[in-house]
Amino acid sequence: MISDIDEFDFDFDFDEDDSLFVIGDAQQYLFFQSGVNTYALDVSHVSEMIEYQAVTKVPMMLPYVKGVTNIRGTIVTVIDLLERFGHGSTVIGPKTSLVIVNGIALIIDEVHDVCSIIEENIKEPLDFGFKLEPRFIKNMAKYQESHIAILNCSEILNISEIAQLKGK
Amino acid sequence: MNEELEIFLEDCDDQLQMMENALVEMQSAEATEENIGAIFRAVHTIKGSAGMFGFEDIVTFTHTCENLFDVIRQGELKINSEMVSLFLLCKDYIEKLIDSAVNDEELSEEENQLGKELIEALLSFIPSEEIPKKKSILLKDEEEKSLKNRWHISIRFNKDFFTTGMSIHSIFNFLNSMGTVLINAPIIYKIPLLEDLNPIFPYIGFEILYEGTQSQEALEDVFEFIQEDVSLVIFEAKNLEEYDLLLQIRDEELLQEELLRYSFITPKVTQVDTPEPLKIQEKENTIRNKELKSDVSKQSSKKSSASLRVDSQKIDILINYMSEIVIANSKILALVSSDDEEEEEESELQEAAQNMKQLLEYVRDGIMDIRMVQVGDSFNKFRRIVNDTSKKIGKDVEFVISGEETELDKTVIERVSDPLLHMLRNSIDHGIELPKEREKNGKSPRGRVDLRAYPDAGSIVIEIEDDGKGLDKEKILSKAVSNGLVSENANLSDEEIYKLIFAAGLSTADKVSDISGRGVGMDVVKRNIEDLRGSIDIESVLGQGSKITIRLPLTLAIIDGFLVQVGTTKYIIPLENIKECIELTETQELEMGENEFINLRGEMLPLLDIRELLQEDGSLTSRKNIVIVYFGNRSVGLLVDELLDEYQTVIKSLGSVFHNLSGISGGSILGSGEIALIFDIPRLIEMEKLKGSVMDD
Repeated sequence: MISDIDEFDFDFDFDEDDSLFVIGDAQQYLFFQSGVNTYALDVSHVSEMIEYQAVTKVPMMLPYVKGVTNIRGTIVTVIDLLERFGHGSTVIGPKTSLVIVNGIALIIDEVHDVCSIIEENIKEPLDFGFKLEPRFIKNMAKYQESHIAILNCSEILNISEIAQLKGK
Repeated sequence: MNEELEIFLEDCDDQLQMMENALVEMQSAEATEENIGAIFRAVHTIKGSAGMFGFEDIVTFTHTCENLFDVIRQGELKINSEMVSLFLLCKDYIEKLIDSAVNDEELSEEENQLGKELIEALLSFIPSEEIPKKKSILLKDEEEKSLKNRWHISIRFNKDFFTTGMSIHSIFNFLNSMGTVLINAPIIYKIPLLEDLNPIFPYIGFEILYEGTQSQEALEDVFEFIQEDVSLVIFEAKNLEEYDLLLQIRDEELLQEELLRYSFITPKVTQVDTPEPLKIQEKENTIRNKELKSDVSKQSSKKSSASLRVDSQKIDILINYMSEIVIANSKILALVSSDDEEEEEESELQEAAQNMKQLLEYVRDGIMDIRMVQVGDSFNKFRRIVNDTSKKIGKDVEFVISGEETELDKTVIERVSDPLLHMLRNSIDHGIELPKEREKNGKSPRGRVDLRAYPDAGSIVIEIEDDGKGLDKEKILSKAVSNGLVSENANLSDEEIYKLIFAAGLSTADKVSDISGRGVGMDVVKRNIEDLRGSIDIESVLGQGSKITIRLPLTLAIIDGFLVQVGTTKYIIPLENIKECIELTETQELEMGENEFINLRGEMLPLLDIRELLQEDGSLTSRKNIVIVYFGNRSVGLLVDELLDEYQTVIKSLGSVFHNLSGISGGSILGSGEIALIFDIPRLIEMEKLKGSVMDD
């Protein structure tokens, strides 16, 4: 009897592990809306997603650095992704969310889905033709019959760049 | 590491520090009897306690040091600077020995070699006629050379002796290493029958006849470590009357028999007519005196154990919890006072919450106080470095420390230590001139560097002042221009020029030495100080010296602040910077016109409109308030929308994205979950000043 339970537990853990991590050569991505575009982010960079909440403005920062917010007692920097791309600022609505990437909260319009993309559907980014600075794009991916950009987190959240003060 | 070893290590650390302080003092001034005594005692204590643990290497080495020092102490040899340097090296070596002994590590080949060389160097100082003495074991001074002393040592152990972790074995080990145990009589008549025996009690005792060269004091010192756990009687064995005393003290029926059996005493001696009553009385008096003495020593040792060594991590954990409690409590207070709007009378809940707040403040202050440490200890550590540095470059420097008793948060002290060291080195290397040069300029050949600490207006001020050549404005400016730090025709005040030395990549040293002059450093120093929410200023007079003033907050974790609102954002102004709060009246506003200052009781007060500075949106209230803040000798009025409340707050970092932002030192989470930004008043004032000078251009 006891051994049955053990076996059951083991199987259960095994299944769950599989769904969380990479199967074969497919990586998991978070798909979300920002402005008119859908983007993807490697889930391994994403620690959490929450509903948009009040942000305290911090003066003298660049316009896309919106300020700070309190996530369970920790002060987290908030950045408007759309504005970071130079596509205007995000309009706060009921579906607006904060995605915490590398400890920084990105304001996005709507979270779509988390799913995997097999490697053969991941392509090198185009040099031009996409309305986004090439440095922000890590790869292009085919998702639901359309081509979307997989974002380059380290470039978007380049601390020395976003830490600059306004007017300097 | 067991507890005893830890105490041993801490004790040795203290002794070594004392030794170093005394040695360094000797370097700069005449050797005093006091200093020599202090070093002798330190070495001696280390030897004694190391012996208790059976650390032979340490005992051998410290013994040699002790011998030489003893010769010095007797006045047979005059200490010179060469010897002081040698002793400093010995101190380092002892430290190494202790480290490796405590961590149970073997010494490396080189270290062993170093030890041998040091011992040889030490021996070479001991006058030649002393050397034969060295061959016989542990001979110390003239009288003792002719006659080794025989001591009777009587030991009884307290019930809980074994729980102290010391072993009886090590006592004998040590006695054997210092001299010879001639008779060892275990006193076993107190051991009960097996059925009554408690295996953790030491029923045994010892009567020992010991031959050695130590004085009684020295022998008693050996037992210093366990003096509270044993009952000890030591006396010179040739003094047979003392045996009677021993019998009286021990009050053990069978003792006399045992003493006879082991021939400590002969029957003849004990049969000596009982001394006259008067004599007995005399003896009783001496016993009583002795007991009194031991009582005193016990008391003093108890006094020292009244202070407690605590792992600083434990305090850090407490402070962290305390910070969370403070946040939680402000949430309760916020909830209670929001209820208040409906009820007129002060509810019991509110009263209780207020009470709680008060108590929490006491607890917080108490915990904070534990962390406060006197700066003296860490300042004294600089002495040696200052001496070594100045010696190395051929400068004669008097180093004066004052305000050692000033208290500062331990973390602050630790983090300010490196910057201070750097600046001290700078003062010696660049500030103080060579003796010849000083004489040429009509100064005394000996330079002086002062290190001072004192509390001032809620912060601690540390000053480093030297009477060297001072800063050369022209040189700094031309260097800064050639480095592109300032434009050629910039019009800078003296203060601003001096501040340039804190800019990265600027060194006015003509020559780069291995001590300083690479131009990396002062900017790091400034950054370090500012990370501690402190500020750094420099004053200088060419040819007369410079003074660096550092201001530091008392503590880092929590501040008392005043909550204000500007537009939609809440800010906290540290209470320690606030002078007063006033309302901006219409007349004042009219008077002001386009200017940015108001007339406050006849004084001109520059005004800083926070809303404009931080580009906040308009507020709902038309009423404007001014919070007058000050730092150092500057006052500024901050124009804010609303004054909310006094607030006790935990500072949290805003994160690396905001590290360029000056004027705001962090954030705090309010009871409501909102974040309020904390003003860094010193930097805010500085920032405005810079802006002002830009406008002047």
